[in-house]
Amino acid sequence: MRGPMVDTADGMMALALKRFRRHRLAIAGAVVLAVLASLAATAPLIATILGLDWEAVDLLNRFAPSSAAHPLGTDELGRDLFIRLLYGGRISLLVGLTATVVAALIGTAIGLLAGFYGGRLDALLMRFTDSVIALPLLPLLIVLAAVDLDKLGLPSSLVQSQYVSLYRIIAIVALVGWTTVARLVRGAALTVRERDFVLSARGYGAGGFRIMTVHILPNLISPVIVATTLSVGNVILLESVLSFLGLGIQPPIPSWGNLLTNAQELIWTAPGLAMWPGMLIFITVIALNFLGDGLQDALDPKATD
Amino acid sequence: MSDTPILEVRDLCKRFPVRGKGPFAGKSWLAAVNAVSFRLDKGETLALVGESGCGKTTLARAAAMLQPPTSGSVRFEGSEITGLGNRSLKPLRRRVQMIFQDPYGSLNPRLPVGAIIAEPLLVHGLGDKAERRQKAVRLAEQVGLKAGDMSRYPHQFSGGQRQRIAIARAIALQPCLVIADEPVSALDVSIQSQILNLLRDLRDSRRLTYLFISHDLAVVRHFADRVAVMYLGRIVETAAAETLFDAPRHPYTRALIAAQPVIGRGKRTAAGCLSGDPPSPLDPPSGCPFHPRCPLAAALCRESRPELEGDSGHQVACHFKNEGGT
Repeated sequence: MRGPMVDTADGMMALALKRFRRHRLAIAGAVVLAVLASLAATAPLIATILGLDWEAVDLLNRFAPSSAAHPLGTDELGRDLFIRLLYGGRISLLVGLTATVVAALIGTAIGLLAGFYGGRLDALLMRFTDSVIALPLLPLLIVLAAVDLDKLGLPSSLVQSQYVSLYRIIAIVALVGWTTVARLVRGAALTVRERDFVLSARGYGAGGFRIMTVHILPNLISPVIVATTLSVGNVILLESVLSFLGLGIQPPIPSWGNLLTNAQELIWTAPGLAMWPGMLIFITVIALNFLGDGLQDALDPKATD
Repeated sequence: MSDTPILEVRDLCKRFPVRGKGPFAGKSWLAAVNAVSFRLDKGETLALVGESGCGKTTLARAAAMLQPPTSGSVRFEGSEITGLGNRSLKPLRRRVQMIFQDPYGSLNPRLPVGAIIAEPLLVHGLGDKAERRQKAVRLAEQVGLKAGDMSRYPHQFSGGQRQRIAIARAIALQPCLVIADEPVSALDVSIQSQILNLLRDLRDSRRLTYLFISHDLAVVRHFADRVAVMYLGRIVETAAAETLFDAPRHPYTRALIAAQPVIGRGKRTAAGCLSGDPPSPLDPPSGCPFHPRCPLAAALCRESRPELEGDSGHQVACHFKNEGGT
């Protein structure tokens, strides 16, 4: 009575892959993201090949239209927009990925502890989660973005670094972004911990840590992956919003968000400066959402064939 | 009988809190297992039988300290194990293993079979990786699986094969007591006998003691040495398997035996059949819990609950245990 099952060692992954392949939009999303990511990753290489520099100011050549030398033209300081977009993509994708991964790790740990141990620990952690959710996000972000890092006693090499705004925004987003995953994981852990294989693991003496990591976590990881994928898009948007408000990544380091901010006064003079970063944010977020939907279908354990 | 029994349960109770309906309703208690006592000697197979919801599974889990009992005493090889913390229970976990009813739920779907079977060894730090793998292969072969199955996942196996995996995992630590909670009731009839034979072979080759939970009397009759019949959280009759089936004394036991399907004997008589559903354990009947459905019930039964009495060979909880023939 071996039903319609796959006869390979990695049956589960093969099934998921098969279901994922049927999701055309998700494939398209994955391809778009792969292209964007590899362009961003190879930005320095492309810059060398094209002989462009993201910091090179050329005041004689401001607002240049697209040409062979400057594929998408130049900005108000004569810097090449194409290369700045690629570098901006590095920053935006990096922030999106790192912040969500850190947030997912925090959320998974908190949700797992709450769901597995239950009782008072659960109540404590979940009320803490509720209070983080209840904090109004934007004012909080503004306050956190204004914190003087020197006074926090952080090493000055870090505080003086030009990338400090990057680290800061990753930390801020991770600190407020873990709540969704925590709730998700807690709910799933509550269900999984009642299954017989968990009871059986307890029966042969497995400890709490082992049960959580070997038996519970692998069985609830799919919704976490889906939620994380979907929230990368949100984080990229959040970074844009913060940068738009001047609280995110600080120029001259480009990010898609602050490229957009820069362009707001020039929207009539050089619409391309606003259009291109806006477009890239839009495309990335849409692609992430399609990918997330596809993963959701592919990893759903209830789905057959 | 002078030896220390492997497992001795005395006055075991397990109650669950139940919240009433409505915001102001208080908590009430559901007594799933009520003052149950039994002993299990080395090498013996004791079957717990009874309807769904009578507390068999709860009793087994409380006896294995998977759900700590509310009150009562459980002695394993003479030493008290109630109230012990997880760390002090670990040596016990090595010697008592469980087999669950649903082989689809009792195996972690994300672990390959080899890892599932070797996990108890890993948890108890026995052997290095290669030794554990070797041992897992030997165990798998012992329960009728192939060495090539080790890298496959549970969902690639049928119910019977999965139960074999669960059995291999249960015997990995060489336990002396195996608590089998309806190990065959989720399986096809043709597979059931294979699994039962496997359990029997293991009992003989490894001198296992079984606490065997079932609602299937035909299975119990051929598998158990002694049988305890449960009704509404209490043991109502316990005797050696042959005695119980040949001369049942509790009306509930008689009804259970009469309710067995029999091939080729025309229609069953309606007389032996029980009417009605078992009462709710939230609101148990006064007196003898069985009186609302009992053909022998009298005024006495509504007022006082009969205790489990008799010699150690055959105990019955019924006011009329010495009357009312078959």
